[in-house]
Amino acid sequence: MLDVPALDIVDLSVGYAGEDSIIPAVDRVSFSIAPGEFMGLAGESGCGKSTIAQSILRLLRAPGIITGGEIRIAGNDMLSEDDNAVRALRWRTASIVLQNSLTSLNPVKRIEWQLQEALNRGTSSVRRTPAELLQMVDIDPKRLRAYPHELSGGQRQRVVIAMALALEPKLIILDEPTTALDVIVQQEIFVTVKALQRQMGFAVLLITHDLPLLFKVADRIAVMKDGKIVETAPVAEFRQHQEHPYSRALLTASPKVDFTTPPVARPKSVAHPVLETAHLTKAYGTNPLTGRSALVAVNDVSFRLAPGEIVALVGASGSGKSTFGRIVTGLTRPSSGDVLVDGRTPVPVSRRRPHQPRAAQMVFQDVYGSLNPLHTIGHHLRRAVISAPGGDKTDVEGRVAALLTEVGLTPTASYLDRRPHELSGGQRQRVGLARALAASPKLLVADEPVSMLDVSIRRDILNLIARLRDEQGVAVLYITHDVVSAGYIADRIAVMHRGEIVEEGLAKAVLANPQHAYTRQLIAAVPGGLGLETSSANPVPAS
Amino acid sequence: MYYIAKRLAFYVLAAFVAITVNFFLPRLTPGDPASTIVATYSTSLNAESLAALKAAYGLTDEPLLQQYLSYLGNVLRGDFGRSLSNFPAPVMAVIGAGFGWSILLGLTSVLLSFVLGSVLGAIAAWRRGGWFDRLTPPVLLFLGSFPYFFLALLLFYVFCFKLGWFPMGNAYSSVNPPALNLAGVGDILMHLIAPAFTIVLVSLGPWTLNMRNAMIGVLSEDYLTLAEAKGLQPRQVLLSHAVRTALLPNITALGAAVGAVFSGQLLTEIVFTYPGLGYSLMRAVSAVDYPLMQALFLIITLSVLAANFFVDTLYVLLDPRVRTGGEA
Amino acid sequence: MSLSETFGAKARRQLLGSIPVTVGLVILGALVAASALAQLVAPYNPKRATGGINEPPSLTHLFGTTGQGQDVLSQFLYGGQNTLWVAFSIAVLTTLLALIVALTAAYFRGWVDDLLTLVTNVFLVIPGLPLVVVLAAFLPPGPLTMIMVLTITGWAFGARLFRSQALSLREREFIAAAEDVGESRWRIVAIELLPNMGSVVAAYFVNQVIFAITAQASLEFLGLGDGGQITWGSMLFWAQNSSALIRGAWWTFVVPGMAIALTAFSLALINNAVDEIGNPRLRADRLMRRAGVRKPSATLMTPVKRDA
Repeated sequence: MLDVPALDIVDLSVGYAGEDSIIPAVDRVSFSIAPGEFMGLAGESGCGKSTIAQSILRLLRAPGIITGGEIRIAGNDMLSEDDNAVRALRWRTASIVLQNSLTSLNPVKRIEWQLQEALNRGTSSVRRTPAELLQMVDIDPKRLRAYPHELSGGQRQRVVIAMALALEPKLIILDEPTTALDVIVQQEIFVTVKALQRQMGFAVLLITHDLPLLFKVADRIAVMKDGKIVETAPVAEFRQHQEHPYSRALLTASPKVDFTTPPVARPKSVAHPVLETAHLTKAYGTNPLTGRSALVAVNDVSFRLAPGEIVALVGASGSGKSTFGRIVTGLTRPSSGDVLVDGRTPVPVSRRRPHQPRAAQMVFQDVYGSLNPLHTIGHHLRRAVISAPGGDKTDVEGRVAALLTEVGLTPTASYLDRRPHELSGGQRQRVGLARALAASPKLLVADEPVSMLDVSIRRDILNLIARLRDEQGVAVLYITHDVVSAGYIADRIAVMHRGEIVEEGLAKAVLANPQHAYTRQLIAAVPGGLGLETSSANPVPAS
Repeated sequence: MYYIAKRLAFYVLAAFVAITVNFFLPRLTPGDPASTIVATYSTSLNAESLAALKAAYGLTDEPLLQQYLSYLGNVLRGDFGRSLSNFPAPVMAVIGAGFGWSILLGLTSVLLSFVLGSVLGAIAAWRRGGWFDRLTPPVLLFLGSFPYFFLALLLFYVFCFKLGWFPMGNAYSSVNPPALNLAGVGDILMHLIAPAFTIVLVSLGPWTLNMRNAMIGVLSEDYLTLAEAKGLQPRQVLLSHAVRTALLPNITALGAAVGAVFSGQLLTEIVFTYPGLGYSLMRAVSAVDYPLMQALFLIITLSVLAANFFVDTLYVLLDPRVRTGGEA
Repeated sequence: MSLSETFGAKARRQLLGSIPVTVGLVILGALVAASALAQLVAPYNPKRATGGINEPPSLTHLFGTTGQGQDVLSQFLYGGQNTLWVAFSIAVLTTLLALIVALTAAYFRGWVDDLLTLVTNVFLVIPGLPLVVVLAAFLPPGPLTMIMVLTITGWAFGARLFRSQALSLREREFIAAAEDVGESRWRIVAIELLPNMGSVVAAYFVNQVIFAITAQASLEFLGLGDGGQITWGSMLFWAQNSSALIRGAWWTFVVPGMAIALTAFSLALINNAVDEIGNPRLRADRLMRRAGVRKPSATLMTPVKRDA
């Protein structure tokens, strides 16, 4: 019995039905997971890793088709049995936790009901209760009567994990379960999962794009590229040496903080900061009578940014960092306090006119949403050039070509007539940068510019931003949740927590020697640590 | 409860707007229709009725505000004026029993088409791409393309006139409404079937298609994937997960549909000479009885508002997100 | 979702190849062409008595004659003209009005939005027909009254639909990006926002034509139209008035009634087909069938097809 693997996949091929033929997405993939083993399946978006995860329980939606191979969960064949037999095996032999915790629970049923529904599938006489399940994942059983929308994202994902353990299956599939969650929440969830795994002995298949995370939690790692597994190795081995060039590329592509060079303070011309805020506050839902606000997104922030400086504003989602960025560019108006960009208060968008001088421009997070799908790249850049100060007098086509060259999109003519959907994510973000540069701003506000991009191109975009600073002297406010990329690119780091800047200093100094408890927590949550001696030798604490 | 209070306030406001529109319409329409009406009636009415008519349309020396306030007071007391064609009977007396019959026909047909449409839509979505799913939408679209009154005419001609399966008109056979015993209820049902069937046929399409589309949307949700992953039987997946949430948008639409169906119902009643409000409306239009028309507008509007409020309350009971979220 | 996002060249070809769309276009084209050419093809003057009373269809009167001895075919052709242009005008006006209200609300937000939304919602809950009856009764009968009355009562749903669409588009970052670059307000609405609402506006417009045709006919049937004008609705009104059904003159009913129903049906067919082809979930089903995989129900069970 011990010899039967928890999951055994042999020559699995999966495709998607297209107009003319079935387009392969997974090509003869084989791997197996031993009982109690924690296996990580890594790769970039579109490599087929999620397709495998969903095929195991035959949950891949149309137009997905399994075109060959074998899938066995604890010895049970998932492919040749009839539908009812497969249905009987689901959840008892293996369960799955999906990526989006918000949508994976039924919104109109109570947590208790949904847990009980999973428990009812059990056959053994000894049954757990929904309350016990919640306790397992450290949620107060009082929350049983809650509806999903009344829980936080992390709690919802814990509920799903509890549900996944209800029938004590041999295998749990985690399909990017923490991608939508904050680093700290992610770390807490994996601490729980590892503890439960030790206690109950189930095997885990974790699908992720995050190699450092796998280093921290997995026993063995498989790297996928273009529908094939290019390398499988125990984590300890893989960290030392990567067999396949792609694995190596993937690993080195993620930005790292270089602690070998000492932190260098750029000469700060304090007299003329490019950005200066004083007691900046933005509150939402303020009651005019009591003066109390439903939410204070930015709370009394005083902050300076020198010309040519890159400062990273680091914080979890909801910390107020994006609101701060939007205030700086004038997209949002502050409730109180002052902002000066290049000595002037930003003009609110509602009162903005073409050709007005603008010192700050925004680079957006959503590379799919920030370009109008109906218009060409040429249109986007031409409009930006024409609306820029003095834009009515410049040679528009020449300026557009120059901008495209600056962001590395050459030959420029081949991009002008393309529409956003014809470009890759990285190329779109380059267009976004070119558009922001059209008005020759003094300050770029880059709001999570790489978080939606694949790991392998994140560093390229960050390098491009750094190069633009070096060549054009533009200052950058880099807004991110990712401490590592902040350390990679920024001169200084400001840490934001619940609307306030809790710590500020030279980037490497802050990372090497964090002062505030929240900063320490944020750094400790980074999977694999920052590459410093102290944090890398510190695996997941046992609980 | 905050949500319900908010909705109630909205309906009170909407009712107020309807009442106000009703007051100002004859007074402010270009071409001074009020004088025209009075002029038309000046020969055919006796002095008493003419005075009442003038008062109703503000052709008196009273200031507008005063007229408006006394009008509001009258409406609050349930006094909607006097009918011109049955002078001096109050309009409420003329409308009287028709109201009950309309409610009976309206409730029956809306509930029937809602239930039937939701069931058909759920089946079509579940057996997606099957013959049922491919046949249902075009057939229902075709039936839904008929104006209510035209389909009513056809059905009346075939089933009541030619085949004689159902009685030709009225809501009951005898002169007075029957007693509520078995035979009486049966008689009322026989008269109800043909008009209700008409309304159900025309209004079934949107219910079915909306339910089908909502189901198709819900079926691709992550929580349906999870329900399937749990190994639940298809019946459980369908009933306790998919149908339950897919019904919600259809219930929201129920409120809006009540108004539209009611409009179609009035015409259907006319064709089947069913003694509901539509019948009164027809009489008002052909006799150019303005007070009756206006009263009908108000009464129908108020009933539709009440129905909407009822649906909103029902929705709160079914969707926990509204209960705590408090958003509209 | 915008037109070009939903419909690439491939989808457009598919749309033209689909059976419901072809059927819809053929019916609609025939009705519109026949009405437009009424002056040329109508055999008789539609207002004159050119035959006996309630003559059944024959070679001289293809669709029979009315209770007043007029030729039903000629009435159908001329009536189509009057009916269709009024319906089309109502559809254009309600769509424009709804767009203006929705875009103003979505662009200005704040109290402007609150106010416009409130007005929209009030118009939405007030039942259409009784209000239309009251309005029409106070105004002189005729096509202009018809257009005005049905425009006033018919725009609200569109305004709500467009507003929610515009609001969700406004949240997309390309609008913020255009603002950030310094584009003017109205340019953003006209160039960035509006074109992305294309498919929703088109679908609504088609539905409004259907609404206008049936609502118009209903009013005329009630006797609130201009009795002297020949429209499909007034044909039904006169047929009802002369108790044509009881006399067995079914053709005086069936011709205008079917004309209305077929126009509405052809438009609904086209709209529904566009909706189906644009729906990515249904597209997946179609691809599966094309790959030779058939499923009896929507249960989630990835098919295994080893020979592929």
